Amino acid sequence: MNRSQGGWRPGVPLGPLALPPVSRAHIAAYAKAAGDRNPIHLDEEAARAAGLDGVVVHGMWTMAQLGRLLMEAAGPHGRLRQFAVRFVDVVRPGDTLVCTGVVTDVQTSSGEVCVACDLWADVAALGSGPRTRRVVQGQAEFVVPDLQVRVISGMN
Amino acid sequence: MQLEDLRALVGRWSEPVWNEAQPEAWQRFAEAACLPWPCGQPLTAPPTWSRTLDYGRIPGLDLPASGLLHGEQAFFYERPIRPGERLACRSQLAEVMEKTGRQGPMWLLTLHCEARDEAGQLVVQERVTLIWRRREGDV
Repeated sequence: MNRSQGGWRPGVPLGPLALPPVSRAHIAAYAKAAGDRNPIHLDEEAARAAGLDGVVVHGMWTMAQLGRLLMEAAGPHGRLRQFAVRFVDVVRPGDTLVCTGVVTDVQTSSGEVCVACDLWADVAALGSGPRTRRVVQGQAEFVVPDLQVRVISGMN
Repeated sequence: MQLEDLRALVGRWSEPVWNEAQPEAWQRFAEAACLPWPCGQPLTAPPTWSRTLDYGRIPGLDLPASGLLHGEQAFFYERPIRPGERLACRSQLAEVMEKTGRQGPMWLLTLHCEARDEAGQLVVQERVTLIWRRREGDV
């Protein structure tokens, strides 16, 4: 591993973070904790009235999972600078998500390493071979302090 | 609402609302979203928790209680949120666009949200794009 910049370099993967199927209990718990009670997440009728095939998982739930991918990549001392996504397709109860990312740029300044990455969430397409369906696509930037870089290098 | 009504609101801010950044709320959020807890050293909020803050109501903006879809979401972090701090949160209707998708006409509303600390310094900003699908009979 390249020890400069803490091993961060373009092409380094983040994840994959494979999640268990999303359940209606996940949706209900998230709606309550986030205070987001838009009925398209909880009520089949309301979802169909909005032009959907049925209830959908909160986009912010899926974004939270990509946030987990970032937290794990950056470590406890890492600090997020930016995190932006597009919700390109719906996630339904029972869907199985995989969150993945890749480092696109690494800059060092004032003793900090700034890591830019692309990240995305896919739903496994069951029963139709290895194809997956992209549901969220985004970018993020996080900073890893110099201290952590030295600690990690020192442990190698 | 009509498109002209929405366009007339572009640039308008909500009154700031004070929110408390409580670690108990962070933990409840983390557990509900299946995230690891605690988050960060020193302790901070999960990356997307600030979306749950009350950013106030933009005068004149009447959004439907059901049916809005979330199109895009961005966070710009100035510094980590500190446990127990108070945040003044407000939002602005930044842009309104009309588009035609596979399911017919839709309005894209972009909101700009900001949370400031008691010294008035920015802590986190958000850009939120909502999709409002229009159907026949909508007024």
